[in-house]
Amino acid sequence: MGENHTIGIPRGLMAYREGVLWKNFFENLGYPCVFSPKSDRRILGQGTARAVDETCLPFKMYLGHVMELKGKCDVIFIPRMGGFTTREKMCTRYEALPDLVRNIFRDEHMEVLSVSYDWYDRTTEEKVYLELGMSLGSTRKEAKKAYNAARKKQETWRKAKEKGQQQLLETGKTKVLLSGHPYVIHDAYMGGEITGILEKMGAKVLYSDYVEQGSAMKRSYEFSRVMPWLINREIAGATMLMRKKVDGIVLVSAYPCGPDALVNDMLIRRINGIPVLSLTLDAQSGTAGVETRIESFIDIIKYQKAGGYGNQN
Amino acid sequence: MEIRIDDRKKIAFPRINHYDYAIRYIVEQGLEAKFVLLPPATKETTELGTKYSPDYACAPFKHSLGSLIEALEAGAEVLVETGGLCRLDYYGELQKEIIRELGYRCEFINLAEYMGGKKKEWLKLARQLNPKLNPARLAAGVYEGVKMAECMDEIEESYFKHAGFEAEGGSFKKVYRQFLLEMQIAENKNEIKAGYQKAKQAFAELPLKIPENPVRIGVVGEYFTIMDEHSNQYLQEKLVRLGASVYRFMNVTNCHLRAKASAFLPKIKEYAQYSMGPTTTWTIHAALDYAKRGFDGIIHVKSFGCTPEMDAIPVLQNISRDYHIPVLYLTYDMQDSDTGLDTRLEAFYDMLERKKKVLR
Repeated sequence: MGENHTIGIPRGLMAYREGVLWKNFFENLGYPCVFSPKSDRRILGQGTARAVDETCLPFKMYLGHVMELKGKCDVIFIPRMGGFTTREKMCTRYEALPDLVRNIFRDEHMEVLSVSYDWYDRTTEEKVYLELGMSLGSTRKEAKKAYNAARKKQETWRKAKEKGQQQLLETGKTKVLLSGHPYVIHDAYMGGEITGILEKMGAKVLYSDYVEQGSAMKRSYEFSRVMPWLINREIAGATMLMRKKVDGIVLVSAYPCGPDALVNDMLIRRINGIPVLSLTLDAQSGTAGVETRIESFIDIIKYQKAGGYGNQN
Repeated sequence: MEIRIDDRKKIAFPRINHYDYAIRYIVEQGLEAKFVLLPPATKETTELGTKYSPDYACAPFKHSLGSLIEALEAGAEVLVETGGLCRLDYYGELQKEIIRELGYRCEFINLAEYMGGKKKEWLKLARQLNPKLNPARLAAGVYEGVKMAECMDEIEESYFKHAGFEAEGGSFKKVYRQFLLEMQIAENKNEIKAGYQKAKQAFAELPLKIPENPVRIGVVGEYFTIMDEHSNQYLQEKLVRLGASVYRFMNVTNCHLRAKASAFLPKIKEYAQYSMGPTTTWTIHAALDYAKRGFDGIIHVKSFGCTPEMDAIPVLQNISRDYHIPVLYLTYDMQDSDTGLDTRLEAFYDMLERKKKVLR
């Protein structure tokens, strides 16, 4: 690949968690990056048209974003992520991602840039990025420098988000924790709608992925020793940590998320003494149903705060 | 008169078709504990499992939960659930919680906690199940149990390959049933060997009537649903009744005792560069193999929401296009009735047969 080639990053799935790292890494190596625009109904629509019916909503959205990048960049970055350790894996869809996109868009000849890692490879994030950088033609030293700088940017971005959320906790308003996969709760079309509705009703919205990551992970091992998924660990850990500090929890899951189907069931059993709303998002076009549910949820919180249903125990 | 008290622990494992017999052999002959051998699953098993499971947990979760609850009702004291590379890894923990919440008292062993662990841990677990354990006996029992699974796989494969062409209706089924019965009660390796040889011999002697245009169908798909006959509503049996010869790569022998899945990756590199999930490589490789060998059709089987198999579908669609081979996609949830399946299979079979007569 030449110097001035543009790398396209679909604004979906893990881009919401590691996008800053990706963007800075490529830019440090001299490749301009372009993100697809924010999610909307049209993008979901074009993604849905290409996906197998049963696949999850975020994946359909992701396909839409990939299509959105067509013609705007020279190569699309789609990593294959299997996770780094046995108890912190990714959903198997991430293992299939690059091959899936290649098979689905076989006739469109999309150029895919990929890097692969898996829990049984016993590799580290640094090694993976070195490999990626070297596959792009840079030297080991350049790749390492680019990775380190990008990693630092990613950390700063995270820290800022975590700090911002910490400050929110001190306000006296009604606080609601939005718990779910980053690419669901931060997506403009999926979680964005929910945040909008919650804020309209005067609640402050906190996010499960902006809770301090280290302590969330640690807490998740108390929640479950064998749970194999990294993101679900972060969600479960963060939810368990925050359950005493917020007024209500909204568990958001996209239909039909495999890990969530089992883990959220367990989470609901373990969270006691605080209102929990379990929302499953599908590709509905209207938000009236969700709005009603959130409205009554906020009412319950307010009612409880005011002394509520008698004895709290 | 001496009163003999059976103080062996009663161990149960979720049903998985006839592999129950191999597991029983390992538990009773190797571990020298008692195994709760469940009768074939019924509608009630399905209902029990569905009732207490999360809504969109995959069908195998519901089937195994149903089995475990039935085992408890049948007097099991120790429940064992396995782990795996997909959601299966989390089955045990959630099922344990559900069973506790239902008020059952039992020991629950989640093998997911032991996977990838040391041999010492496994031995400790075996000692916990039987304090008077004889390690040499255990090793022999496991070896012979695995051998039994291998024998069952071979006979089963041969059954589905030929039974569709039998000259006398039901002749293959009779031999196969007898064989499974012998495996169910086998107590040593000689009995396994004798049963296996008898069935093999009998199959070889049965007369066949191969039609002019024999239809060969390959079945690929998700590990549990494809192997467990109750879960896939006797799919292969139905195809055999229609007169097809049915092939299935996915079984315990091919998946665990032969080459690793990664060994197949170079063969499918045209379609997948990396491993796409725990069973996907097998599925794609088997489908591609059937397509190249000129099979008439492929049936893809999975439970609803099975992510790895869902991801195999776009690849199968491409294989279908490249090799002009029809693929029927079946997704199972917890259906009660199988008339819908019958209609689809009949139509699929008729289409394949017709295609063969008219186009070739």
